[in-house]
Amino acid sequence: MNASLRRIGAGTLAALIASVGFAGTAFAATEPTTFPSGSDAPVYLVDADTNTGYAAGTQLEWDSPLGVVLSAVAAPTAPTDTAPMRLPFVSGSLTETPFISAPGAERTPSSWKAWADEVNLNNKGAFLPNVTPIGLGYGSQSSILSAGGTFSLGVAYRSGPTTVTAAYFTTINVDATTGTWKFATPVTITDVATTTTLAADATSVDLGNSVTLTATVAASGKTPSGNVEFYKGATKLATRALSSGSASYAVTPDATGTQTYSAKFVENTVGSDKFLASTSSDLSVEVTTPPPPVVPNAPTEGALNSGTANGATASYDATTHKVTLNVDAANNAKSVNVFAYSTATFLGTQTVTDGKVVADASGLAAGTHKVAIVDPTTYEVIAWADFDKTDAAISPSITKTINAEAAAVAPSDGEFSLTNLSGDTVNLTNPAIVNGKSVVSGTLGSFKVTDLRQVSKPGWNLQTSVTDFTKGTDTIAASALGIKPKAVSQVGTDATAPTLGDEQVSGSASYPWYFATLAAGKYSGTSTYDADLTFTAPAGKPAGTYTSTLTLTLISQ
Amino acid sequence: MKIKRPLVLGVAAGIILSTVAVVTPAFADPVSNSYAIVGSDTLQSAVDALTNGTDATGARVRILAGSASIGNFDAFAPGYNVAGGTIQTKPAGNAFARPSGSGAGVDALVASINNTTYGANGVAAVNVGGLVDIARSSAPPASPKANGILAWVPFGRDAVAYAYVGGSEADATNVANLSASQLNAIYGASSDQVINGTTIKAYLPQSGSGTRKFFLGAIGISNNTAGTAVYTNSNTLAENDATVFPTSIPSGTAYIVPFSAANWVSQKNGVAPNTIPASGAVRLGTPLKDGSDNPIPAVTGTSPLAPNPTYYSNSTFGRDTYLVVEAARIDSTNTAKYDATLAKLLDPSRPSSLVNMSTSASSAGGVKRVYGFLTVSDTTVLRSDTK
Repeated sequence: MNASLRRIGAGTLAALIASVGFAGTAFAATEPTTFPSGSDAPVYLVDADTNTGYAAGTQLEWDSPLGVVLSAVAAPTAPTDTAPMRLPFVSGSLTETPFISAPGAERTPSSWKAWADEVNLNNKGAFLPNVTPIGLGYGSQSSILSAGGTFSLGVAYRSGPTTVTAAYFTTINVDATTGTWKFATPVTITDVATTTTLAADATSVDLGNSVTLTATVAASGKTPSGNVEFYKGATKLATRALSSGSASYAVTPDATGTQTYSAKFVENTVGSDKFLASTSSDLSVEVTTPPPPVVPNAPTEGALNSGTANGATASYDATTHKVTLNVDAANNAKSVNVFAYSTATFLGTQTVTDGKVVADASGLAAGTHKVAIVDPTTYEVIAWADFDKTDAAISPSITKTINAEAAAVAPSDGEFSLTNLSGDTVNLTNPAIVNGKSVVSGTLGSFKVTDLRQVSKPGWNLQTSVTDFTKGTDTIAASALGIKPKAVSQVGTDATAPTLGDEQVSGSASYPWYFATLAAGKYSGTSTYDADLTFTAPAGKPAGTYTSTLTLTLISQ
Repeated sequence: MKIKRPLVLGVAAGIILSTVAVVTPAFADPVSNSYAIVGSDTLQSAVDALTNGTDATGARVRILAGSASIGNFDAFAPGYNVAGGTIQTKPAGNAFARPSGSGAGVDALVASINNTTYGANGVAAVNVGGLVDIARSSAPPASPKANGILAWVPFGRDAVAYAYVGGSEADATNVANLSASQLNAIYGASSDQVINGTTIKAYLPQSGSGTRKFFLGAIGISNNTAGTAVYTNSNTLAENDATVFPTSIPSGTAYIVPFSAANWVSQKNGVAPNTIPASGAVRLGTPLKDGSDNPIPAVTGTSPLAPNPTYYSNSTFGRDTYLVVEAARIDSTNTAKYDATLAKLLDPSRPSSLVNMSTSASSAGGVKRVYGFLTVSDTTVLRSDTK
């Protein structure tokens, strides 16, 4: 009998169960794309004959003619010195055992699918351990071959029967029945040299003004990413992330003299590229004390007479605190110094535009004033007029907006999902005749429940429904499928292990049924499950392949 | 497996041991979970290591039949250095006489193929149909025959020299480089030969030993028949076992016995039960000399010891060894009898086969080199109907 799992959508798993007959190649072995992060070190597969590496993407046989052994280094050509191929040693490890397990179960020997002899390490790392799948003679190879799927293949070091001290393995995808398989290859990290250059938008600046430093990090043929640290001398000023290979930082020097700045790119690994650190050469910025502003000399008040008024009029706007002097348009485009009287007060240098000069009078006291425009070189009064200021002098002020971020200190709910860890098809093959009935068994294949809702903790039910088995016009009721849930692993501090449902017995099973439940007020973390399946065909049913759909749905309470 | 206990049964060295009718060994070899291998002593340590699993090369190597373990049965019962006793090779099979050498192994294989009886060493003949799958042989078939029922698949190249021990250093020197013609005179003689004042006691393994047959042939003695002065312990003497010599050698005498160079290498390297005394009194001699009259040693190096390719390539004293099977079972065109798993075990291109001679540490060939075997000179599979 065959059974299959087919993913329907997020949060649910559907299984298609068929029965007696030939299992098709249900799991198509594609190359696993990611080397498992759970392995304690990268491992490469090489052949047992000449120790030549198997190229990434190679499809291997269950009984590979040249054998498969593990190596700590990739071996693109047959190496003359095999010593670097020895796996690392972990203190306290006594033995090594080649194994195949479900992903995530590498360090649980009792859950391994198949394994080989446990042999002494003699205080050295394992050397070319043989992991050719057919040689893993203990356990059950048929549990792997019946449905195929994704597994971990490697060696485990132990210091006791159940204590794994290290595991070196890769991820493999196995075709059902034929046992052909493909494997994940560690990413080879290559060093990429970088150069960092630092530029400033000004190399000479007045004290109080800011300088924008821009660091550019380059590598041959690639655009580095990562962080740049800006330094003044040996003091780190700031860290900024690169964007398209450059990062900027605006610094306001706090002292006069020569300021020396530099930028350092921090080593950063992206995929298979390790961008190496580099430091720019020093950049000098001269900071000078700005000269005090020069207040030009003013003509005496006596110079403002009927001869120098020249028809000018003045008006004061109490809203803008500005005084406007209207003058002859012949003065347009002249640059003039503006003064207010009685106390001669310089109001700034302006350019006459449209017969007007506008100046800021907010610092003048209330009362009657004169405003005059003066030639900056000859000090001659060009024009002047009286105006009344109604409001008092305004104290200078500046405003700044403050945006302060507060970090969230309350925990929040996390992921709630159901993930298939094995193939979409479960094949139950090789039935036996027990008490006159055809009985076949197998395993469902592992899947994972993720419940990180640590705040709301609503709890959940994992509902299982099974459709009747059909073959053409023949039907076998779903009650023929027995399911015995098994908890494989449970991870999460403060998480609660869910309660497994009572076993459904083949012949008297009743669906829908809860595979597992978690009461409200708790969250379960990350849990991995599998299940033993048993299918008993009722008497009188013809032999052949029966098909059903098993659906697992994770329902929040 | 060879577990050695010196001087079993309390018998003093040098006294003839009477044949024991039925010997019940203190340890019983387990039955095989797949195929059963019997026969030659010369190959047994290497095949023991391969089938039981070994770290001899630094990498763990174990040859399986698919996923099942293989049963390799030594020429002598564990703890014994004389032929005798019974073995049970398959879970539901008869116990039958342990084949104690190359010839006996092939005889038992033929009886297994023909579903007839096999007996030896005082053990009554019983039916052994299906109880023997592979025979180890240190010699080629005496009567090759095209399309014979037996296929002889080359296992590895060995060489034969002789072990010697002298009563004094002068005695040892006198027998260190005996030529083929000197050995011919010694082993055809009816009385002990004397060379330079040293009386030479010539020992010879029992007549089923492939090493004995090869040695006598190499020194020009025909019909596997030695002179009457040669000592065989009533035709029970173990081959490749340095403990057959007396422990105390009188001055003026020296003892010699043919010895497989591969066995010498594996015993000295500590990967096979070591019969060579630590005192260094027993050494490996050589009958070969080069063009400048310098002796060509059979082995080189100290630790580890290695076979000397120059000696091994000699066509007189070098020899290809074989694993013998029913030819039909490894013939993919024979639909009735072809056994793919057995055929893989005898396919030299696979590092997981018994007849592989690759050099890597993770291959069967790598293990066999530590056991003193080199690549065969001729990879042709021979055929015959008998040993």
